[in-house]
Amino acid sequence: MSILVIDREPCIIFFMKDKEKYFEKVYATHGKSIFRFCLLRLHDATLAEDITEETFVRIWKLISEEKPIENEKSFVYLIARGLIVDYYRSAKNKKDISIEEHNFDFSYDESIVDKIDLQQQIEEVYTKLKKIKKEYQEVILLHYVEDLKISEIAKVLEKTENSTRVLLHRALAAVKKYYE
Amino acid sequence: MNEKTVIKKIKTLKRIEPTSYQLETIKKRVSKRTKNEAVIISPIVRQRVVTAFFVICFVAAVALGLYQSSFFVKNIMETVMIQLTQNPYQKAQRSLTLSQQNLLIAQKNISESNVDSLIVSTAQTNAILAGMNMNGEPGLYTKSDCKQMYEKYISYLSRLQNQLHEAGKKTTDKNLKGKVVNFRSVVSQYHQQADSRLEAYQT
Repeated sequence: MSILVIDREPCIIFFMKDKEKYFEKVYATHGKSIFRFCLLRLHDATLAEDITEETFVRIWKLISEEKPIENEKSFVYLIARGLIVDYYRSAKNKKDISIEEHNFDFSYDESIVDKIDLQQQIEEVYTKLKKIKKEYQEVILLHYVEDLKISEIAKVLEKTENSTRVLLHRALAAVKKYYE
Repeated sequence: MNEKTVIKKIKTLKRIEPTSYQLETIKKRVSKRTKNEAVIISPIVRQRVVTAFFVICFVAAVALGLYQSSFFVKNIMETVMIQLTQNPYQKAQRSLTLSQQNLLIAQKNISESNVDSLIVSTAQTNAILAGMNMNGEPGLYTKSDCKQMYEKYISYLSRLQNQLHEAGKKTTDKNLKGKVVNFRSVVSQYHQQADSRLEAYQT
């Protein structure tokens, strides 16, 4: 029996019922954002679905084996990132698909005009982000899109907090250059 | 363009979300893959496997003529009854009583088989107590029942630890001594877990 951190309270997970509940909670909290992170890193909705699926299957395995999870948020991104890195290492054809090819659900009801405008804004940022280094894309997405703190990003990227801060600063400067 | 505007533009990416269909599909695929594994270790299956194991042990014991004392048979029967009891509180009560009886027997005569019985019954009691809801379950047991049960369990664990300490000192049998030492460290873990759960009532 081991200790998992749930809602910042250490609990002892003994039975499958508790584990299933905990897993449901993890999926409900991070499912959407992990998919978005995968999509923006892989530029392919089908691949993003596959990696999201694999991420949660691995999380389930760790929960069912009662492995300790200390920082849930960075832990989930760490797994997803590892799978993305594996994909890039193994994949020979990294195809770039336009964001317009996917059906995105925007989080609120908008008029068609607003929706088109938003689509254009997203397309613009997305195109610029794709031009910068992969590690810059990653740190920018984790900080500004996924709202991870520097300490959490450091855990995901397996770097020190200082080097993560420097990386983020350089990444932002790189994006800014494309807007000038 | 200043930094703030760039950040604001980047943040528009937050609006990207999977369609509800995509999200549902991923969920279904994940649960399809995880359910297969969950079945293997689900509590119902685990309980049935344990029950079947004890029934087989019982039949085998009868068939081989190994039942030498009425206590041995009682012990097995009681273990089977515990597995079949549905109410977690009653289950815990029965299991704790069995563990206490086994401790009394081990106090009188410390032997490998008596230590084995203690190991099995204490592990069973620990697992049952761990599965109890600390706030009680409607119609089954109350929060205070659960608290009292934990207090009794902790007192049993303290006595067991003392007894094992004494037994470890007295015995000259190497195998038995090793078994007692290992069991003592397990009991100490049980004790810590039970203490931390009981502390939850105070906080």
